[in-house]
Amino acid sequence: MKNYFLFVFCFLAVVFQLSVLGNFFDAKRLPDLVLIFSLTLILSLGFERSMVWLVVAGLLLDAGSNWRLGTTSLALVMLGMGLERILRFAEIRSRRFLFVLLFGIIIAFSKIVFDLASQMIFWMTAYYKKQPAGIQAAFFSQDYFLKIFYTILIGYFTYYIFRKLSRKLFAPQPIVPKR
Amino acid sequence: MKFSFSKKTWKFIFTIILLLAVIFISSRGADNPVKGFVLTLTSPFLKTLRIFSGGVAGFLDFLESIGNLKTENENLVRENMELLAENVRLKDIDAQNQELRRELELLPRKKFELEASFVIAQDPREPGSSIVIDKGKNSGLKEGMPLIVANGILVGKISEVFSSTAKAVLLTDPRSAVNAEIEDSGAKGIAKGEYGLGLKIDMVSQTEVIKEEDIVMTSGLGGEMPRGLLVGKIDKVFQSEDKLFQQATIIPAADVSDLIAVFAIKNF
Repeated sequence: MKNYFLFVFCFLAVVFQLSVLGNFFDAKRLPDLVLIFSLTLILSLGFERSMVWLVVAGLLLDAGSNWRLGTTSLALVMLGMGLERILRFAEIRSRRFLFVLLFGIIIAFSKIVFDLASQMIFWMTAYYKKQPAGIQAAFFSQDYFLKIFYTILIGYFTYYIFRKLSRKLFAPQPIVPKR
Repeated sequence: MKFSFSKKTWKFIFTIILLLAVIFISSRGADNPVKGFVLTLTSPFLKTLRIFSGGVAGFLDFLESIGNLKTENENLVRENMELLAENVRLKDIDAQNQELRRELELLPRKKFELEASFVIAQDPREPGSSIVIDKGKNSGLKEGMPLIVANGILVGKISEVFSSTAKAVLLTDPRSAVNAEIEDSGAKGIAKGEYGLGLKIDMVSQTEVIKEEDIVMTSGLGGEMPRGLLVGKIDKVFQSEDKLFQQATIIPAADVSDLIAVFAIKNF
């Protein structure tokens, strides 16, 4: 039952990410639902218990994209391991605060790194080919902040719903003494 | 001192090794059947949710646009009148064209055999890079077939075909390269994608004249694409430092990050 629930949650996150969100959000501002799913699982169940689902979510997402199969899973597992290390040392008691904080850092950082890398590729290509770079990556545009904002907003609701549901599903069963 | 890993660390190491192996295998092209299988299983959900959410999004847009209906109506009436005038002019040109073809004993231009399909998924991490459509081998689609939207605007070409779905690389993807031509001057070049961010025409000879607002279309060279599909408009023209070729950025004619339905050209 628990695994079934987690599979449905994982499947819905990927399907919504691939096909539904694009109808409501500008492509550059799409919230990262699979990242939300992963963070929710890691914070709620711990890294060890959520590892299988991080792999499954990554594989499903890679199947619908042009990325090599397994790359997203690898990134999510590494992220989970890193998060667990942070949680072990940081003493942030409010999980909600930690959740929002981590989102902001991860998304802003990953997007900035991605765009910096793209820009570097443009510059290097232009340098070696002795041609103008042409397109410039739009750094710190409105899209950055809106994407982060939408992700945090949707993430907060997802996390809230998951916590509510998982309290019922994953609550420790009372031990009934044997007669 | 005894050194040992915990059970959790072993699990982590094993997962990392397993995933690296999967990535290695998939880099050799062996992931195609797996991706095809997953997409076949998920495509009914993707399609249903895409259509349903598209309807909801359309309804929300409609609610948002109610306030602008009067202005939009006036614009549509004016546009309609302009189109009527354009229609008359085109009918005249068509008649002239047929007359000329008859005189030159040319066959009428062959119409494309199109396969309409819905976009059921789009890679959220690279919006201008690739899409998944709901038709595949069963509908006669093959790798390399061009994808267009209404009025012959090129948006990409099919890169992978599965039984009931297919993946397409969009024009703005860096893997995309299309033989292109500037409509006015006839200058030929290659339209290339720029990391999902835009489009550029390259390898245009220095002897050719290209300027802003020029229309770019497919040249049909190499036989991969039919001639005359609209690609976009020239934005900025650059001169390369070595002075061998000219380059220019292109504003794509269609917004490839927001596609709903596309047509695959099966025969041209």
